[in-house]
Formats: sequence, C-alpha cells, structure tokens
Amino acid sequence: MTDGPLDPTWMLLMYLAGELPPKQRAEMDRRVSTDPALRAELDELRALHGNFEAGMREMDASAAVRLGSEGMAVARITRAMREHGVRRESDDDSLLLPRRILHRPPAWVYPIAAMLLVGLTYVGWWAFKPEPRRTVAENSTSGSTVGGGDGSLAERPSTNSSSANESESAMFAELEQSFTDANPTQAQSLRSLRLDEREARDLSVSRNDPLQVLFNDPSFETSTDE
Amino acid sequence: MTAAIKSMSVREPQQPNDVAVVESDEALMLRLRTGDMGAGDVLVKRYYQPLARYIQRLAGVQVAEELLQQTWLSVLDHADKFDPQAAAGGGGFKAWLFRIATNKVNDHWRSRGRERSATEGLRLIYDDQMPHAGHRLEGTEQQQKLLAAIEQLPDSQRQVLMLRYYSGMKFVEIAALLGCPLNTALGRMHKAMLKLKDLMK
Repeated sequence: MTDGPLDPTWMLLMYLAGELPPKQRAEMDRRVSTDPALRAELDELRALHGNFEAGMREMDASAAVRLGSEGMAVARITRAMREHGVRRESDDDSLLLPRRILHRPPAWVYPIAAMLLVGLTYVGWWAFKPEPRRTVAENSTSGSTVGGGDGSLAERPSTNSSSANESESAMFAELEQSFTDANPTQAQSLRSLRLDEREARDLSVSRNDPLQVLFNDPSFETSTDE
Repeated sequence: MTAAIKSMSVREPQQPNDVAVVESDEALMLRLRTGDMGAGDVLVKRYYQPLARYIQRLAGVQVAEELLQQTWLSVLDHADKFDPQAAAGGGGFKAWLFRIATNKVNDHWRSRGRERSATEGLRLIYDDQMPHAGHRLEGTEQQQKLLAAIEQLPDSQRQVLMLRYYSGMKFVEIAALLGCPLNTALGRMHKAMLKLKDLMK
C-alpha cells in the first residue's frame, strides 16, 4: 500500500535494507557514487541501524530466558494448544459454547432472521386462522342454485351449520313442489335423494346409531306432500 | 477428535534437531492442519524467542505469555486458512504468525485503552519487581538505556521497529500488515531510529 513516490530519505532506507526494485536500486547506486553528501547520509543511517541491531542482540542475549524457563513456557503453550484442539473436535456443546460466542455470525444475519421469523409467524397465522362465521343471509344466498328442468340436483352450500341445513331443506321442498305435478316419478326421486342426504349427514354426526339419530333429529321430517 | 487424540496418545520420540530444522514452516503447518500437534510443538519452539520478545517489547512482560498463548491458539484455529502459496508472496508463515501476534497486541492495547498510558510510568518500576525481569538488572547500563528508550517510543514507531527487527519482514510487508502506506511505515521506522539515537546520548 503506497501513497505515491517515496520520500528521498525513505528511499535511502529502502536502499540500505536492500528492498528497492532493481531499476531504482541501480539509480541509487549511481547517485551514491556521485554524491558525497548522499553517501555521508547513507553511512550515518547505516551506523545508526547497525548500533541499534547490535544493542538489541546484546540485550536479548543478556536477558535470554534460561532454558528451563523457556521450556516450561513452551510446554504450557503446547499443552494449551492440545487442549484447545481437543475442545474444537469435542461433541460437548458446553465446551464449544465460548467459541460460538467468540465466532458470532455477521451482523446482517440478525435482521434477515427477524424478517423470516415475522414472515413465518404471519404465514402460520394466516394458514390456521379460524373461518369467519357466516350470517344466515350469507348461508341462504351463497352457493345455492336451483337446478334446471332435467332434475339435476341443486348445488348446496358446503357449510354444515344448522341454518344451512334449513335453507337446504326449504330449497328441496320448493324443488319438489315444482316437479310434483309435472312428473310424479321425478318428485319421488327427489324425495328419496333428500332422505339419502339427511341420512348421510346423520351418519356423519353419529356413527354409533345412525337410525336413532335419524329419527331423533328434529330437522328430519317426512314429506308433507304425500 | 480421533486424529487429535491419536496425535496426543502416540508420543513420537524427539526428532533430531537437524530434521526439525530441515522441515519448512509451511510443511509443518500442513501437518498441523491435519491434527499433528507435534508439528505445532516444533513451530512453537522455533519461534518462541523472537515472538516472545516481540510481544514483550510491545505489551510488557506481564501479559506477554498470555498474548503469546493466544497467538498460537489463533494459529491453531486458523490453520486451515493458511495458504502456503499465497503466504510465500507475503513473507511466508513467519509474516503470517507475526500478523496474528500484532493483532493480539493491538487488541490488548484497545482493551487497555487510556489505562495503559496512565500506568506507563508505573510499568517500568513494576517490571523490575517481576521474577522474569531480572534481565533488566543483569544488562549493562547501555542495554538498560536502550530498553528504556524503546519503551519511550510511541506505540506506532515501536511497533514498526520491533516488527522489523524480530520478524525480518520487508517494509512493504510491514506496511501491508499494519494497513498503512509504505511511506508511513518507513517514516515511523526512521523517526524511531532518530529518537533512539537522541535518547541514548
């Protein structure tokens, strides 16, 4: 990472360290050989660094830790490394917990996780929200279409509420009345179909005794037109 | 886990020094990545002196071993991220190791904050009382003056100076490690040398 041309003094430092590129080094060689002042500055810099390095070597040598102490320090470090290596591969979550804390996910994960949580909560609520109760007016008008002259069954509403059953009964009664005179046979078919449907509903209500439910069900009624 | 335990349970005999010297740092790191803790032992011993001294000069004797241990544990944690080929162009394993140590020292400085500067003067006295600070009394007067002068340098200058001396990294690599321009790294180095010269007079 550089910020432009090197300062002349810094370039001298790089030259002294032998880290100048070949082209620049050759240029410095020429300048040093022809400029006494530059050569004197280079010598001073060389002496300064030389004295420093010599002093550091002597200081480190005189303060060198005894082999025993260094050995103990190295042993402590290597033992810690072994224990750390075993913990990394251990299945014990409690030991791994500190590392998990140290290795947190990046910050952008948290808002995305929050959005996903809110989205899933909304989807779950929308999917399992209770059906709104339908009023009597809605049940009597929705989904009920009277069949045509071919005697086809009229569509009945999909709800199982008692109000829907009443409207269904009225619908069938009306249909039956309209076809009685025109076709007695067809009227009888409708009547039997009505009974079959009621029987099916009663069976769905109680599987133990469908006949009992059939006769005890107040909504059941025999045809009044017979 | 099996590999880690295997490397622990099977105590290989101490390898001859010539074998340890011959094996390169990168080769040892590759072994360490596979769970061979013996390779880690070799690396720790090989770099104990320069790395310990480097951390001591920057962070002080009291916390040097702790930071040194943290450095090697971090080496273990990130062994799989060490790319020998990529590191070769940037100073190799040594530069990578000192980069980790520098980060640990920087973290220590940040955690200490202004408290460190407030106790700067006390630290020199406190170091004398530490059991391993005997070197301070054993060295010559000139050596003690040099040590005191180093400790009086600003953190940024001392860091470049010690990093250059103990790691042998090139100035370009030092600048990249510290995240500063090359001119800045060279300037800090030069100013540190001049200040040491003045303090040693």
